[in-house]
Amino acid sequence: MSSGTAQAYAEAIHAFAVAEDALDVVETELTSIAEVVTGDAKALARLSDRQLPVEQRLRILDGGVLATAHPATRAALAMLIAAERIGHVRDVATALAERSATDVGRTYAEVQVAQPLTKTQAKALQSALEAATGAKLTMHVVVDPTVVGGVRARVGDTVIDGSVARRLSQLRTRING
Amino acid sequence: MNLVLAAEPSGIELLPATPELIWGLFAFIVLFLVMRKLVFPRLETTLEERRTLIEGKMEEADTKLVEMEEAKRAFEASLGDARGEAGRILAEAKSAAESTRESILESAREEAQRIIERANADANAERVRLLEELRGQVGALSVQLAEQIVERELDASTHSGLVDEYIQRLAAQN
Repeated sequence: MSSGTAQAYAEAIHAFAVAEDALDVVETELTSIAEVVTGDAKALARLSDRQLPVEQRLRILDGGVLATAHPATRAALAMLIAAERIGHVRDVATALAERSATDVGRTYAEVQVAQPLTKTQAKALQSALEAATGAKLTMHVVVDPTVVGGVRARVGDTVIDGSVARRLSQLRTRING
Repeated sequence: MNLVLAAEPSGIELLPATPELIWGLFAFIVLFLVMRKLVFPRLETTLEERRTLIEGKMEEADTKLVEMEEAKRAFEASLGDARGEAGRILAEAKSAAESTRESILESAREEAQRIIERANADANAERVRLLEELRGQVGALSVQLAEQIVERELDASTHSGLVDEYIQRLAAQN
C-alpha cells in the first residue's frame, strides 16, 4: 500500500473520529490493534481471507477484545476489512498518528525497542529526539523483538537506527561481501 | 563331210571344204554383225551399268570406310576425353571428399573445443556459485549464531544500557 493510500484511509478515519470526538481513543486503539494484528499472522490471515465473506470477517470484530473498542475504532476496522486493506492496518494507524500529531503542531515519531522503556528513558529519549530533529514530537513506542536490542526511531522520513538488528545486518552484509 | 580319217591311206584331212569354209565365214560374219548391232551394245550398256554400279558401290564403300575411320577416330578421341573427364571427376571427387573430411574434422575439433570450454566455464561458474553459496551459508550461520548469542546475552540491564547509550549518542550529536 502506498503511503498516499494509507494517508487517504487515515484521513477518512480521522474525519469520523474527530466527529465522534474520539480521535485520541481511536488513534490509541487502532495503533494497539494494528500491533496485535500484524504480530498475529493467523488473525491477519483470517481477516484478510477473501474466501470468507466480508460479513463473516466483520463478525470477528464483535467478539473478544474488540467488542470493548470504541465504535469509531470498530468502524475504522470494518472499513479496512470491507476494502480489503486490513493487511495495511499498521500503515493506516501510523498515518493516522502522524495526522493527529500534525493537528496539534507536532511531528509523529515511532520508536521501536526490543523491551519496554521506563518512563525516565522514554522522556529522555523524546527530549534527545526533539533536540536532534528540532521538532516537537508525539512519540509512540512499539515493542518489536526483531529490533533485538537498542533503539530504532523514525521521525517523518528520517530513521535513526541504533538497533542491534542493524548491526547484525551490517555484519551479515560484510560477511556476504 | 570332208573329214578324212587318219586311218585312210591318203593321210589325215582336217580342214573342211572351201565352200563350207566360205559359208561358215559368211555365217560367222553375219552373226557377228547381228550381235554387234543388237547384242553388243546392250551387253556394253549392261557392262557399263555394272561397272558404274560397282564403281559407285566401291566409292560408297570407300566413303563408308572413310566415315568409319573418322567415326573410329572420333570415338577414340571421345573415349580419350571420357577417360580424361572420368579422371578429372574422380580427382575432383577425391579432392571434395578430402575437403569434406577436413571440414568435418575441423568442425568436430571446434565443437569439441567449444564443449570443453563450455564445460570448463560451467565448472568454474558452478565452483564460484558453490563458493558463494557456501560463503553465504557460513555468513548466515555466523550471523544466526551471533544473533542467538546476542539475544541470550541481552538481559534487561543490557537492554537498558543500549537504550541509554542511544540517548547519549543522540545528545552528543547535538
